[in-house]
Amino acid sequence: MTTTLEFTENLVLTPVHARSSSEVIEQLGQSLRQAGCVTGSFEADVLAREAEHPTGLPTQPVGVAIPHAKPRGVLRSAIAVGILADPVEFRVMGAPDEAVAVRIVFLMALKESDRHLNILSALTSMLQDPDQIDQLLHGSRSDVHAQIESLLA
Amino acid sequence: MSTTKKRLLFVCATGIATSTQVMERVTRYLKDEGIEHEYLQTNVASVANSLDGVDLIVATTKIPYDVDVPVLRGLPFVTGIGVDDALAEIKSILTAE
Repeated sequence: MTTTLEFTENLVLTPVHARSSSEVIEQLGQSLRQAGCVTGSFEADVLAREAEHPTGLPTQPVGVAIPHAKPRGVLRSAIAVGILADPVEFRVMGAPDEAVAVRIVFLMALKESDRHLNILSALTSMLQDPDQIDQLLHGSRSDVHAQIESLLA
Repeated sequence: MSTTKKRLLFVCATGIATSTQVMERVTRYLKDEGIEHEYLQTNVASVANSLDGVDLIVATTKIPYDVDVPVLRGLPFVTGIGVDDALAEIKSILTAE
């Protein structure tokens, strides 16, 4: 498949200083917007979806969240990653009554036609490995970029 | 067609993202265990229209109303934590008479 996923170093933010899940989604959304990947109500769509279908994952050693939205507002498929200095609370996927302290956020902007990319599959296999999560927490911007890019290749 | 096949319904918010993850892991397991099965994938809004003949739902999103079919949390297949327990539970549900 020739579909491409945009993931440049500009789309890696570390460390992110945010006080809430909304703030980190806004910051990552801004980086996607600056890269020309999203427009319109993308961040608002993500926040609305997160409220209804949360994406916090109680992984080890820290929680991860994978917010995303419907393709509306996505110009080019892309992914932005934020490594938080301090955890923010996300609601747990499938269990909105539960909360998880999250330090890594993958904001996914995916066009409908890209669903075959199986990006999620690549990401979740990484997230199931505590060593890889630890590496993301402690890596520089270019380390984090290289680590994730190798998955998406 | 075959009526002995177990029918699973994989549900997530969109019906294309995490439900695919969960489906791949669960169907691989069922194959390994020799449990005949077929499956559907759907988004949470369409669950009510997809229940025909379904033996088990595995969902990564909360299903906001009661259904007559057992519902299992798909989260372990996304986080990798608790996978063995979840697979054992799936097997026990599908092989119970």
